[in-house]
Amino acid sequence: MRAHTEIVCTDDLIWHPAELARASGTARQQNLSYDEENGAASTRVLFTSDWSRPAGYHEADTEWYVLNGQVMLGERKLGASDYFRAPAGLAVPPMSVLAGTQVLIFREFADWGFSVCDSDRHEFTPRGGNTDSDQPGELTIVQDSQADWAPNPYGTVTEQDFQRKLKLKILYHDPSPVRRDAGWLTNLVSAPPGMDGTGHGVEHHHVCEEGYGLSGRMDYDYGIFLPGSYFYRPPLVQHADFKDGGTGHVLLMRVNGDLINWKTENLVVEVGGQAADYDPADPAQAPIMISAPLRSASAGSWPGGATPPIEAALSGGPHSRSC
Amino acid sequence: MAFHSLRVRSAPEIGPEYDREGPRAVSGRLAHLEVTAVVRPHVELVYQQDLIWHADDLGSAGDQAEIRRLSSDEESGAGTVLARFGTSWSRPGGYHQGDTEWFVLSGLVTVGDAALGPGGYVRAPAGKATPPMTAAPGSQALIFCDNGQSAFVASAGDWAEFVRRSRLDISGLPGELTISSTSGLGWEPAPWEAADHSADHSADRNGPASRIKVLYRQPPLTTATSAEPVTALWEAPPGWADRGFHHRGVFAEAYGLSGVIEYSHGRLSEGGYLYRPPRIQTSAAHVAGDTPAQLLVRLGDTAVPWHTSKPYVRVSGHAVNYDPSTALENLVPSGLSVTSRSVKTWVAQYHPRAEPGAPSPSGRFVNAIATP
Repeated sequence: MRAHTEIVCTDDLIWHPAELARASGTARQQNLSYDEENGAASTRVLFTSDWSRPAGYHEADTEWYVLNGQVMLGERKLGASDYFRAPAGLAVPPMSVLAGTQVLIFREFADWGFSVCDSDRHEFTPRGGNTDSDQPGELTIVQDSQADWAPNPYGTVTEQDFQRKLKLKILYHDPSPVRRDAGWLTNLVSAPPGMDGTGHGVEHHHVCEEGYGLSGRMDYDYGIFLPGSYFYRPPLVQHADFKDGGTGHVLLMRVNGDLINWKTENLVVEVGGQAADYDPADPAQAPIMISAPLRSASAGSWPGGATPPIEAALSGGPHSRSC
Repeated sequence: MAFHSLRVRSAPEIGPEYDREGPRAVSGRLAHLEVTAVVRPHVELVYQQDLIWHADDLGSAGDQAEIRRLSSDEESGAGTVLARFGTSWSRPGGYHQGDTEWFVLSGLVTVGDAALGPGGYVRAPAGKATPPMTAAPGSQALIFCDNGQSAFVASAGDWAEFVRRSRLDISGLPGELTISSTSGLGWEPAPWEAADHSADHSADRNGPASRIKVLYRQPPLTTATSAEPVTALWEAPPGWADRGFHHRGVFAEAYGLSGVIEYSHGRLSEGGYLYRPPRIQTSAAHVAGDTPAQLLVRLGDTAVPWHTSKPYVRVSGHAVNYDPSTALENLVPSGLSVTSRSVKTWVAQYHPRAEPGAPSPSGRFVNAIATP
């Protein structure tokens, strides 16, 4: 399983040799989130030389989102904000990447394995490891992904006013109308300048939710989310609603199913006890009865510094430093 | 001393059961659950056999070893891995970039002229020259790296003229290579039990005492602390039990070698592993069965842990559009520990310990996590 990660700042993370098998050239990666049981991972990769790889198929459902630079996928030239996805076992054209390019690479349900081959692994390739569809998997390419925004179809009745202000750009969607624990959604979410969605209680989902900051600033209960900030939130873990930091913001978000916003009002988490032999007011001694999410040094403490009054915690006050 | 704290994500609604008598209460509301940066996750509990293998040369000339990552810090590079050597492995002398410890689980590892079988141990502070090493095919070892990345640099000598006892050491004392084995060490009482004379805590442990063999004890690194990190073989006999709810101000790490410990997070047996960051609480534990339980443990200090009585965690709220009595829908506060498939799932980890109250028609719910 992956750890609840919220918030890490990518620039804080160490570099590893990139897990890009059967390739020529050099690259290194930062592990944003890693599942040590099946090899699934979310990474930021920097190509430190020109890089190339022959045609073949991945062991994992694999997505690339180009942050900058140039990626050639067969004859298609991909640049900043371009995206492709290949389900496991689907043949992908030869690829080449220019030195200095940075991409986000997401693997699901398997590790870094890649087989050089001109054809698919099997006669039939499923759409993905979490699909409920009997349709064959395909190579998905989205270019100019920050154009053609669509309305946001998600949100409860009580929060529609602010949810409608969000716009989405679907990069990959595998709907699953019958089984809500199946399917996939990878999209860009854009919030307009000054959008304030606070005051609608906390929210949780039956699916994993993952986000990477591309531009702007988002303020929410875990802190300030900036470009390069990242979270991975397992199913059912609560989070509060959010507001824009002023100029509008865009996040790349992934969920392993269709999103349902379950809302909770008046949430109270109470932790207490009798301290037998220590000072619970001492930050070095106070117990932590519920584990904390992974968090970068740059993200500061959570919910923040010295004990903030509740009012400050609710207002999205100075919870954390920027990345 | 009573304490209580709240994390509130929406307008607080304090129930009548709330303990308002603690001296830390501020108008009945307090939020001091702030958590500083934690990039090495709370891992409790994973089993090594559930994890994938990564290729790693461990400083050799080629990919001759594989590792399973038990715990990683993606900011400092610190971490703990299980290594296995499929072929005869060797590397020249050199130094590590982090403070490094090896504990041999099986097979044979040599460090210079020293031959280490199961229970063998070597520690080299960062920058300290380590003799050439070999590992026989099939050998397995735990490798711990602290205060830096695990990278190894082939070298005939130390990294610098002066090498510290640890990268965090400012004592001015020189670091040394430590080579030891559990087979050559004597048992001593577990210091945190031997030093705990509290009648209340003694009542928590009414069985036989546990004991340790100290592989490495780090004297305090500065005058500002008395903490003595320790790496040790810990053994608890049948009948051992600790019923207290406690935490430490330092990290705790353990790997199961034999026997079974049953406690709040499940069954820790051979191949089971935990990394518990400072201040994380744990609850009652006991040895299951008729054989002693042995763990390889690393602690940031051997002081008596702090105890809490009558602990509680209550999560309450108004479920607007879901069924809070259903484990597959009810929320989880945040940040549960990492577990592997042999133990529990995310959902199962939280909810079996909860006592969900039947939701009222209004959707109001209260989950009280059962604590000893």
